Amino acid sequence: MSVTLCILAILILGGAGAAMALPRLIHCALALALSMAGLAGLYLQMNAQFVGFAQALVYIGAVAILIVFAILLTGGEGTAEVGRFYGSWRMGVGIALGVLGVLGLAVLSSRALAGQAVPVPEAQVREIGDLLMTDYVLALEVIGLLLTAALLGAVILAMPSASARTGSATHPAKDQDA
Amino acid sequence: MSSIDYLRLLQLAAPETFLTLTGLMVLAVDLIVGRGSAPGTRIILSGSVAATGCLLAAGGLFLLPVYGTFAAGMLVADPLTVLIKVSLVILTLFTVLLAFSDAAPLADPGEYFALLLFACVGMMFLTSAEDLLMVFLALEFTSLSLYILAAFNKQSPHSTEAGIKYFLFGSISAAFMLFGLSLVYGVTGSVQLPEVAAGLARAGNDPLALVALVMIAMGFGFKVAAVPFHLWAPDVYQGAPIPSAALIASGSKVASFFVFAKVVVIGFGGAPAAVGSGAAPVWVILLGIMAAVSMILGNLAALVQVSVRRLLAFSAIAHAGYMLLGILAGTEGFGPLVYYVITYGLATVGAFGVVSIVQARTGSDRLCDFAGFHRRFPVLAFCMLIFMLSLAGIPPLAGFFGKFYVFAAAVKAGSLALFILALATSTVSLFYYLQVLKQIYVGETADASHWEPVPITVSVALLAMAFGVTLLGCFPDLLLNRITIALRITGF
Amino acid sequence: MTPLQICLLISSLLFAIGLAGALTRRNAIIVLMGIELMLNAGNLNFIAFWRFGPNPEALTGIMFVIFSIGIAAAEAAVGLALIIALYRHYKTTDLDQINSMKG
Repeated sequence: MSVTLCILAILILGGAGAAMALPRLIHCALALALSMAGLAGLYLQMNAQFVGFAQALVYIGAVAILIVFAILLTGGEGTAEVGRFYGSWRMGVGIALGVLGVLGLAVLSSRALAGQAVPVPEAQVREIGDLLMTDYVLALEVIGLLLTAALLGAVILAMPSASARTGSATHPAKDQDA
Repeated sequence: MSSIDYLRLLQLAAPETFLTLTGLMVLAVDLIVGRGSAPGTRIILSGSVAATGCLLAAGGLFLLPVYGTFAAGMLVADPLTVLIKVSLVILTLFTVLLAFSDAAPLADPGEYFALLLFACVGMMFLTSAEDLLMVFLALEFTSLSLYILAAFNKQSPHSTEAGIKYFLFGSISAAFMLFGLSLVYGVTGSVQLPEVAAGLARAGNDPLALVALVMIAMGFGFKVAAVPFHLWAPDVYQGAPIPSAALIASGSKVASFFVFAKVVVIGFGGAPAAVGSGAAPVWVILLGIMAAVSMILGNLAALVQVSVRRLLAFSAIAHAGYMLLGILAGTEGFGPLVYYVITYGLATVGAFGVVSIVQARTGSDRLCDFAGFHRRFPVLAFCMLIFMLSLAGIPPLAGFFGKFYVFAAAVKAGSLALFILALATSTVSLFYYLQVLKQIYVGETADASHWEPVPITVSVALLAMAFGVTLLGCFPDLLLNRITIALRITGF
Repeated sequence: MTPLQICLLISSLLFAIGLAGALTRRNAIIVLMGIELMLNAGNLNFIAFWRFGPNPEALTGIMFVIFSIGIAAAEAAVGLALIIALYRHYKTTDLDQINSMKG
């Protein structure tokens, strides 16, 4: 068990570290996908099959692809080399290390986590489905709305504005009136 | 597996459902009727549908409230949440009316109004959530809608910049909040507020529980723009389209503060004192510091602003500090806090409305652009006078009583130092509010050009808000009694 | 160390790595990736607490994660749309160069 855990941890953390540190955007996106794959594996290993597959589908299948598209659409490779980090990067790293220190100390010293030997729980897809249609039905509806709003907004924001599309052909001066 | 009464859910969530359907109808109307007509017509068309929907929803909530609980805290409709929802819908209605002004040319009015309504629906779900999953979900729903609304004016780089800044800060704080919520789940084994409270009381001063509370407080601190999580506010207030900025400043603040207070009072109420017995719980110290720094920094920074929208942003940060006093006062401060945020929201939307008029006619919102406003629109100038004096806390306007009750609750709860600080910084705040009024009433301007008349809907909305602020100031019991009764029924 | 603690340490590290990236990298897309990592750290906590916690039958942790995966995906979509809109105006995704409002 601990060997798999070790491999998955290396995959997750190594992928994450690479995604945050590599100079080329496309490599970062691939490293992110690797890290997400590791997380999906970890979920499977913890017997949360449904979540594991959802993680793989959503993050590797959708989010990573979306990020690659965004990199291509923004002509990403050009700006990568000069000054990857802010001038004040030491402060950012310091804050992150501080947060890590606090979290690590809290985890190690907490009594709430002390040795519970529990049987391996099962999360059947059927039970999840039942819950989604009963106790969580409102949450399901709200996330449906959330996705609708996100879809609407993403389309509106990413689409070139109407006046730029039709107006620039005929009256190039008109879309300056911002 | 308990069977679920879906009809009951529909009854309880009727206002939200109705507003959602209105939002979809706005989209349909704009698509079917609006395409091809002039932009002005489209705004009026879809705006009228949205405004009618808000009006009906507010009326329905007010006249035919339904009370009850769905699925152990997913949706709790009691007199208090219904009251908050009515005020949220009314604030959204005023925001919709402001969008009739031509300040920000809207390329896609149908989508804009639909998203305004969706944001309102998110806030309403947020208000009635007593389950941390629902709190997170509704908070994210509201935030996502507001990010899009902030960036909606695609012709303006400022708007896009405001959107991206709001998004990045917001998402980072959402991540902090999610991590905090996960730790709360780990420590207490539940995400329902009453059980969380019991679990936190059991956990004592476990370090993991403390970290969780701090991270959740950070998430909310961002939403209400308290220092040091305020960095997004000035740029968003300045760059976003004015109706979006008005909703972010008012409705979002009302809902976030309400649910913040609810989570703190119900959820953290069980969290005991910090290590080193006798001291206040760690979140009390934390919120105290946040309140103090917000009051000082917000008021001082507002003094030097040239842009009125940035001035309003820093004043919002300062007000967030005052409102945190209400949360610190615990159950005692709950009623005053609700009164304060509602009246604050009303005055802020009004102030943004006047700014939108000036900005549409001069092209910017600098203080000097307000010079001579009084000669051009004497009635609207008087409305601005009311909004500014209410924000400054001058009797007999609503802002005064809001501050008065919150400060009184703070004194009763024993935070005397914070009370003195709040009083001192309030005095400072008077200076910059008067600065705006000075420009409006005695500011000299060489520009004598004729300004276009203000659209009738905007004038009516501004007058209604000014009337509301005055009425609630002269008769605070109109609102305060309702809040007190609702609180008693709810059992705070 | 118990398996639960190991999982929590992994998630804390993941959170810190994401935070460090979000605070130090200048490219908006990478900042967005950092935020996704931070959200995923929260998800990992939920699964770990569900797996090793006292009350797994309620499936609370699992349900929370299912919803939060959905939210994170929506956030990524909106964020990338914003970044594309930003690129249209400034021809860059470098956040350091985007500061047109004074303050």
